[in-house]
Amino acid sequence: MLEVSRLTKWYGALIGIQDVSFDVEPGEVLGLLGPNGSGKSTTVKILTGLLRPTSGLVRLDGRNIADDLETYKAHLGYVPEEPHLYTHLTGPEYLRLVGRLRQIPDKRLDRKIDEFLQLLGIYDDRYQTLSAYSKGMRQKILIAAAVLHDPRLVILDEPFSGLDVSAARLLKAFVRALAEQGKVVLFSSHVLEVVEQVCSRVVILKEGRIVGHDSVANLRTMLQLPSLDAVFAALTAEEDVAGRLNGLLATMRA
Amino acid sequence: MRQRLERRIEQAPLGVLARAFFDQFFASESVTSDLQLRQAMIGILAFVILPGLFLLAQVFPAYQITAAVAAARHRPALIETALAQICLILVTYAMVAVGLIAVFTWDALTFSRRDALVLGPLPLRRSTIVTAKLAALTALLVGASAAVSVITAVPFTFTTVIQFSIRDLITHGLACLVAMLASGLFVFASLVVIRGAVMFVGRDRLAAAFGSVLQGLFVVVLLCFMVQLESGLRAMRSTGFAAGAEGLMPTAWFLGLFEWLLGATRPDYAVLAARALAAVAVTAAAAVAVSFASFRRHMQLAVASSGLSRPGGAVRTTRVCARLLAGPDATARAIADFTLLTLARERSQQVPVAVNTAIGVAVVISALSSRVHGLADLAHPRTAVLWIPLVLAYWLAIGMRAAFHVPANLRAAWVFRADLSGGSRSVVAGVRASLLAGVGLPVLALTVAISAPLYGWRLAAWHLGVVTLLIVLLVAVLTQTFPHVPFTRPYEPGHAKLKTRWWIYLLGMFAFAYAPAKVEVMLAGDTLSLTQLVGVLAAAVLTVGYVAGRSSHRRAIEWSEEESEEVPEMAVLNLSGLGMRV
Repeated sequence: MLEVSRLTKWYGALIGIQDVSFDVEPGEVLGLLGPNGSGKSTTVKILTGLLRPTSGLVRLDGRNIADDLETYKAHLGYVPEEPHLYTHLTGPEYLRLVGRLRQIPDKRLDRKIDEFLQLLGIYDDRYQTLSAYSKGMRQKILIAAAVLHDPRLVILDEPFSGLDVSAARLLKAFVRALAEQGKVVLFSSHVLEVVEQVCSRVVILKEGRIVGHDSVANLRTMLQLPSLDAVFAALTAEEDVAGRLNGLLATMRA
Repeated sequence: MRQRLERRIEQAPLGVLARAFFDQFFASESVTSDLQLRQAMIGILAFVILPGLFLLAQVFPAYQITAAVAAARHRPALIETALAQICLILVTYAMVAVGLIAVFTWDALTFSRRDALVLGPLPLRRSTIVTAKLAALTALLVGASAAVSVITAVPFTFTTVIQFSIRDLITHGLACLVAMLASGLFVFASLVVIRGAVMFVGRDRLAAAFGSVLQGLFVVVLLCFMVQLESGLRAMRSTGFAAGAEGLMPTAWFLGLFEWLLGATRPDYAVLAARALAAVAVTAAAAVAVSFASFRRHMQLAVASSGLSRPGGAVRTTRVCARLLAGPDATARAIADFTLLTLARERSQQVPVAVNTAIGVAVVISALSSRVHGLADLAHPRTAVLWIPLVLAYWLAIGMRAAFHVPANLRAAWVFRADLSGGSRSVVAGVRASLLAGVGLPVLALTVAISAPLYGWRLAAWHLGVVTLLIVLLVAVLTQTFPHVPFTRPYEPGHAKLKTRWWIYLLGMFAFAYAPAKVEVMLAGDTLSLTQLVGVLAAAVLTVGYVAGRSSHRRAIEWSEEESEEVPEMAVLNLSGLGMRV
């Protein structure tokens, strides 16, 4: 189980997140929601070990991840929000780099890479460098890289970015299947419909604090709202959308 | 009034684009601010102007002596010869210096795919875009040529004018300046044409590889030019260039132009001057045509599928060798593989390797030209020959280490932080394997190629053993000074501290290359002593390896702070003046 306890991160005088606590059971997909600047990325980066919290703890199976970050990372698969890749490498070369960094034996790694590329529909592009890949193809490489070592904990940050409809459908089913196989899955996204379909529970962040944490159904019932979209708008107290829309149109025409 | 205003508005994108293209010449991932951009420009100018000053200090005192002798013996022909020699040197210097600046801005000499992708959708005429590019190229050429030419032509004028009159001053000054500027323009335009032609034949991949080779070549030529100047002057007895074989040399054309402008009546000077002017006109026109064509070509390529072509720079043999050297540690193999692929494919990382290797080549050429005067000198082992692989290995290793400090796609470095297992020991092993393979393979092949035909297989085998052990030792020491994954940290300007530590690099070369080669020469033929030498080196390798192994255990991998991950936008194609930022 992944336990996040009173996580706080300060950037100098600015607060990133404050007292963020939740847990994710194996077999569960937890959605992480929030508007821009709400602290989602900070939370995800702390959970991936890329950022150290100012205070608070993250535990995997009761063990503080800071005590042995390397072992924790060996169990983690991560799809980052931005597809920053080494674009001078080809798809297989990049996956081989990641697989070797994760100490996967070469024979097994090569077989896995070939199969992933074929299943994700990018096998024919295997000789091209990533600079020639579309955003969706790069996203597929990142997804393959994240699960190459069969991780116990999978953190997906906007994984549907750039994917076409059929790839997105496949990934949704894949995320659910990962949870069914007993993996801990954390899913951060702006696409509320997908979160509603994929996640068993959601954590909604606003200005670095948790403003909602429950299953989608419970949140809807509790707030007496028809959809996650409406729940999200209510909890994050979105500004007057119509007013801002009029302002945008007026500025464009000015 | 309104028409003028409209014309100015229409011309505004031209100025913004020209500025953006000019910035591209000096932009890189290591240059992230306007201040650094200016520093880069000043640094490159200083690098090429310095040899010019050095050249003046060498040439003009000799000219004064010649002028005094000519006056005493009433032989004005001596002065004419000396003048022609100096002009030839200045023209050669202008060609090499402007060429060096051009090859250091190689990637930006013609349009790139990114230019086509960014500028294609904007409401800009193709002629505006190409004119802006040509304006930027002209600005670079004028800046480079002026810096190189004025600083040498003005002292040339005041030193060489025979009878101090305004007319003579203007004639000498203009003749020298025009000859130098024209020769610079010829080289610059030729390089633009070559860049465009290579791109047409082999797309950007071949053009990039060609750029690194040319960079190394021009550094070698500039350094050799400086080092060999004195002996060159001594050897230059006659400047009677004819329109025959010597007249085919571009340097002779511009010397002819200089003499013709001075009013020389020899007909071959007029022929050479005509060749110079024709060459300048043809190459300049070709450069303009290539600029138009390359933009059109990139517009086509930008929308076309790149197909199933394999990327170049696979360095398969070197990577296999590095993987074997890395041993069973998969992380070390991954880092070695990544390092070599990046060096093979990324231009920014190739520059330090090319420049440092060029320094090594220049040192080797200088030593050979001063110590070896014929094939008979090569019959017995000489330091100037035996040290060749060691000098090249030293500078190649220094270049690779410098390249490791240049970031490659810094934002992608998260993958090492997120996925790396194995700790600092694996990182060190990976870096060591890539250095050993990258330096060892070519240098050891060169060692055999040089020493076996000259001195026989027995001595070649001993030499190979010594070179191998010394490379392992050098790599072990260098690896200890590099505690992180190559290319994954922001560039620290001036980390090499060349201004204050240049003597350490020279001392290192003496200790690593000269001293062992000298000892080898002394011990050649004495098997017992050679065995002892190899034994001492092997012991040193083992000791350093043991110490390095212990320290890499204790050491943590250095990562840049996550907060500094927000890298400023690159100063590449900053079109903020057009209302957008790329």
